[in-house]
Amino acid sequence: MTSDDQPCGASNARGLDVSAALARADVLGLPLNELTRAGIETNLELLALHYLAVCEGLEETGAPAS
Amino acid sequence: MSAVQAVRDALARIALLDGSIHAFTRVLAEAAIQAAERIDAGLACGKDMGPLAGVPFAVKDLFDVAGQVTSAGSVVRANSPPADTDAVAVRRLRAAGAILIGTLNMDEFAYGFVTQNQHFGTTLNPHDTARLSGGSSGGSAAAVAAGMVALTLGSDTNGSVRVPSSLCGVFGLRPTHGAIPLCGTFPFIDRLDTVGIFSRSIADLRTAFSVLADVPVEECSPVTRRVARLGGWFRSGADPEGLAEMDAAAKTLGGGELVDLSLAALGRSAGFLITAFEGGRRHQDTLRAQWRDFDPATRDRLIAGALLPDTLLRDAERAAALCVAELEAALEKYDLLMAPATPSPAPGIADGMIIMNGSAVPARANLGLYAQPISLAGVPVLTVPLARPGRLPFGIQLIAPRGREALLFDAADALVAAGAVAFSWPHLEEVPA
Repeated sequence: MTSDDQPCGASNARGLDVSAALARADVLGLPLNELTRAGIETNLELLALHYLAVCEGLEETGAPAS
Repeated sequence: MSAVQAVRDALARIALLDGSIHAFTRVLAEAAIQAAERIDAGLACGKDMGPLAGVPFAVKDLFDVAGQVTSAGSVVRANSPPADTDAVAVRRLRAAGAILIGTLNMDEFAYGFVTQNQHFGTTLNPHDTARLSGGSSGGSAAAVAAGMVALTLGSDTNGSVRVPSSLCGVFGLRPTHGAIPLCGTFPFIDRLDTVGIFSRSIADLRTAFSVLADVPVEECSPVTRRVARLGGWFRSGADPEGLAEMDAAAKTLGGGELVDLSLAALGRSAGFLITAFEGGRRHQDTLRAQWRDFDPATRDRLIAGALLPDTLLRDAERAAALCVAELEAALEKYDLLMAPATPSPAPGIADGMIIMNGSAVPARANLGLYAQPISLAGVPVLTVPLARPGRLPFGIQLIAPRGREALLFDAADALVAAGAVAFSWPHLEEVPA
């Protein structure tokens, strides 16, 4: 998974709040530190793009995302 | 040939080649010889030792093997206890007379399409050792392609049998989800994980599937076969030569209409999210305790997945259901669908890029584009190597309705008979036995 691995048709990351997701790391006790932060952020941004594609796809079918 | 001789030949070939291929993570030479001696003794007494008597095989290092630690491609599990018993799939092959030779390399926890493993090395493509073997079952595909063993097991969650089959030029079956028991395999994504089989011939694949699924595999009638090619998403960016060869192959089956699955991109994104979400949750306890032991690339992907909110999974599941319904509708109209297994032949390791639509794009990110949307439906898919001697392998997916593996074998036999599909030996140091 890399930042190049973008879904078709996705243009931004408005479907997923990356900052809120990162904040969950502390709650869950997962390591968010100088060794992991950049990689996790990159992957979350990619996942956000895929989620946006899903949201747009669901909207097109008339069944909007949650 | 005796079973002992078959095992000795396999061990010799592994010794000769695996130093440069890195397919194996463990070779169980002594136990294999002992098992072969038992097979030969039984045969000498006139006993039926099974349909795979004396056939050497190996398994991806996520199948439990009694007495061995199941690594799942990670040193995170180095201190785990050895498996008490064999995985069901291993047990069934052994009961049919096959002889386990060893375990095979993979992407860490099966999360990847390249088999570049920080702990166990990169499995190189036997057709060109400067190129990737694909993943995550890269060791399984490379070991068969190089002739080290006749049969291997892997697993396919999002394409991990189909991608390495395509790049290494072997036959690779992802059966109907659940057709082969997963019991005793290290899990990734339960709803998608599928035990897969690699071989150099359809006959071997058919026999192995029958043993592993514990079902007879009947022949199908070619007359009833309705064949179509998947268009749109499944042709965009694909290697033009490979596409032309696939189109020609479709004609030999008497089919070729193009069918567009308009929701394939949606399905790919849904599968991507479901995998990240469930993979992250599966590993989050281990990540808390042992995060330093993971391959950093795997670690960061899994943590990101663990941070996703629950609402996202529900939306991804709804999107996946739409994609599956579209594919199932196509499989009501056609018995067999065809699509490339990968966008291109094997990429170079040094640059890690493939060409799509005239542009270089990262291989790691794009190798699974055509495999992932199909995975969601749980239908059987057989990847077959197009006949292209002297060139890098390129595989195509044959896709059938659930439970119709026999139709796939029959179609593959027809493609082989027509000369459109064939296993080609790589140009290694030694002529195959």
